[in-house]
Amino acid sequence: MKGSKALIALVAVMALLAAACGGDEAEAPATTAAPATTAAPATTEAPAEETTATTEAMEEETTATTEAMEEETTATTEAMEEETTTTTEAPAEPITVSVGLGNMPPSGMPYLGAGSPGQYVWSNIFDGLTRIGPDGAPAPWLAESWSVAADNMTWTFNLRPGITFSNGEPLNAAAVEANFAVILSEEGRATYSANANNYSYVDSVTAVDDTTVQIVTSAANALLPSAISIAYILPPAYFAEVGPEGFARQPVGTGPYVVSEWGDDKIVLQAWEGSWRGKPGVDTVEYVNLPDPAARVQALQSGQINVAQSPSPDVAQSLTDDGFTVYSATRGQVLAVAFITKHGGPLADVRVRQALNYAVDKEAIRVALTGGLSPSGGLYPPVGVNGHDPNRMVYPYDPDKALQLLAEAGYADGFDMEAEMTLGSFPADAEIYDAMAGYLSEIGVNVTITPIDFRGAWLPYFLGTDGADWNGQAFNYSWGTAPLFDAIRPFNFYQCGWRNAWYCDEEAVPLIEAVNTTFDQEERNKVLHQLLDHTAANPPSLMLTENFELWAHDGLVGFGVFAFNAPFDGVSYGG
Amino acid sequence: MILVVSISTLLFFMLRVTGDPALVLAGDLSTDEDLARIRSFYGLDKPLIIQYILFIWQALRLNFGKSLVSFEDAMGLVLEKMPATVELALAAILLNLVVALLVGAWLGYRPQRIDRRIGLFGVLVSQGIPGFVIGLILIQVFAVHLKVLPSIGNQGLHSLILPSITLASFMLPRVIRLTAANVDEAMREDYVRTARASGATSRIVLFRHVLPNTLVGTLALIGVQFGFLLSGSLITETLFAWPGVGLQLIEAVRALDFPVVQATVAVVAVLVFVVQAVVDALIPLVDPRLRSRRV
Repeated sequence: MKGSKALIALVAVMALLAAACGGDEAEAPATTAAPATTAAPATTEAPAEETTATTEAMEEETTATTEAMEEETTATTEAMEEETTTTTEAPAEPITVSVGLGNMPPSGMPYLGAGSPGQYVWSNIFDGLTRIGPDGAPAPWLAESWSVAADNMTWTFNLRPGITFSNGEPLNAAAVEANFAVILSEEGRATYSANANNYSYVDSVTAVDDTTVQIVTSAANALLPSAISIAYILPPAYFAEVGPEGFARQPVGTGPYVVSEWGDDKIVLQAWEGSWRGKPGVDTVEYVNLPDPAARVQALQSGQINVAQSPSPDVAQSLTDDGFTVYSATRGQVLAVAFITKHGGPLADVRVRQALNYAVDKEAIRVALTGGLSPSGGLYPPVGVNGHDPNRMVYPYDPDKALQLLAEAGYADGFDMEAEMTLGSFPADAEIYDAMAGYLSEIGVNVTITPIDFRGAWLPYFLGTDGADWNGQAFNYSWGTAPLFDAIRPFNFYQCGWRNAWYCDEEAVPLIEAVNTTFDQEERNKVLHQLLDHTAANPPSLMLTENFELWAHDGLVGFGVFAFNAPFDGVSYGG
Repeated sequence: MILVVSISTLLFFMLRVTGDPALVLAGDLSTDEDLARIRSFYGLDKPLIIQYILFIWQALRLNFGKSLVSFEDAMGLVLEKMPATVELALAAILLNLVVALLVGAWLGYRPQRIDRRIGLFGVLVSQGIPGFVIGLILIQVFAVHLKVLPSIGNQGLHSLILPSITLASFMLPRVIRLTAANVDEAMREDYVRTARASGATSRIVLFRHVLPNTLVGTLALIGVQFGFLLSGSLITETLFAWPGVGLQLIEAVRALDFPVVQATVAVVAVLVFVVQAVVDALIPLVDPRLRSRRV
């Protein structure tokens, strides 16, 4: 009897639950449709450099992406240009944009990472002294100019006057000094290593006067302005008051958005009119944690979010057919397989390395396995990276030439090789490596792909910690330029002096050194191109396809991602 | 406490086999000096046995340290997420109980009838469909096409419907089958014949006599399967961006965030233990025979 009462009670609870769940419009998810009549936002006070740079970025991307992307990017460019001249009008209603991210930023503390996904969000809240522009070059940002002394190790950065943080603290040289004091302390270098390692050669940062900062480095490095673009400047008094944990939950910066909610699964930003970057076009930006790509696409299709990061390339066409805009842009990274030559073997012969590059049809892989969305099949440096040249040679697909080179090198019958690979790090990477192995087998080179774990094997092998080393003749290592977005970055690993060098080209060493220490940009790029020419003739790796950003949205105008910055201050739904 | 120590010990050594957190934190640019600094800062330079003793000493005080990703208190992060997971799991259990009892009663009442046989076959087939597939279908129908229910986050009871159905589906078919079998068996018991002989209608026989007896087996199964249900929450929470510990655990494992993984597993282990204990306590309340036996 009592059992039946319990059962009835359970049914009643479920009925109540069902009743509570039904038809309450007030609890519907916050899905914001694009207001059709929203006027263009006020951007007239935004710095001229940014407007120009952003517009250029859009133009640059236009050349690199597929036809569909080009149309979207062109529209974006036009909208951006229009925004710079449109007179300010009050928006008809507040615009909220909800963004579904595959991963959330590690924290509201921007020193706890670099690149994706943190910078997508941080670039709306914080600013660095510089910002890497769409062309890969460092642009003036909080610092309006900089110079380096004759010793090439003493830098002077001149800050824009009159900038304040959203809590009212002034952005001045003392604030910059205080920030670097935190990062460069022993504890800071340990805690914030993911960010600080990119400019570990910075020795000291000193405030000379209210708007002048002096940075001294331990070695000459021409890329300092690029490297410190990710060292966001935080309000020192507030930071000292709340500490890193408090700051992580309620971050404060100089950017056009303030944080109204920072959670592990949801971040909400509100527009801040007082920012030096001007009033943003979107009033509220929400970031939602949506790890599953299919769930992100479904959320976009159902109107629960407005922007989806990294939808699967497979659904790009259907999204476009449904009226969504699919946007792709460079990540400054080319998927590649590095040749291990330190133990000799066939790959030590440059003709063999050339043959392998000739043997793979990179364009066919690009079209078949990335849906044509990858901007290029093996072009390095990719678009958006300093040193990019669209006319630079990519090894064409020429199996006959490959066979001829192999025969000349004494490997007419081919050879066997093992490649240790981490799989699943990039879209369709396993399929791309399989396709590569298939092409190489056609010239008699039999590749055995051994999957390895990134943390347990790849990273220790790469760094050579505790005697760890590669077991095969090749491994996957993308030519990644982030966060510097300069073509020289991966060369610093592909060189004889690397801590666990797997490849050594003595002729390239002085060129690499010259690029790193040449401060005149024009001169530096000349040397960089000499290095790139030399590398093209002496390939240290097999270039495959370019990795890329893929986003889908419901018609935003001005949305763009460059150097992992995804700013919303120039974005609107048009008008 | 023994449970927490045992689970934590197992996890401590398993996690360290998967990789060196200092390497992950330092990244591919790191120098030996960077690695030494990070190992020293996090105590990773100490011998493994010392690290383990320190870890257990802290775990006994439920202190799992700070997240290596966000530098927030790991246990605090887990406890912050736990209510959402418990909410989802309870909703799934309630759904399981109600649906399994009703459908199981229908299937087990006259199992020889053709419609019941078809129904039972359908349940059998549905047991082979992965939960995430059901989740994706639900999202496609109710969120994308009909646009009547949200599929992301926790924004009130509306948001609970699709994830709780998805999570319930991980164990619903087997609970229905067990209930149906129990009902079928109970219908042949002496007390049912007695009830019928005394003039009770079929409905009274089923709802007053058979189902309460069946509830014991269903409850026991749900108790045993609770751990399995929580493993289903990893998938469900990822699919629906449900802000619970499942989603948090997946991200912590991906980032090799040891403290958060260890705190999550410890809390989940305790939760499974508590649910088992509650079910054990509930069963005598539902079944008077067990109550009298204990007395």
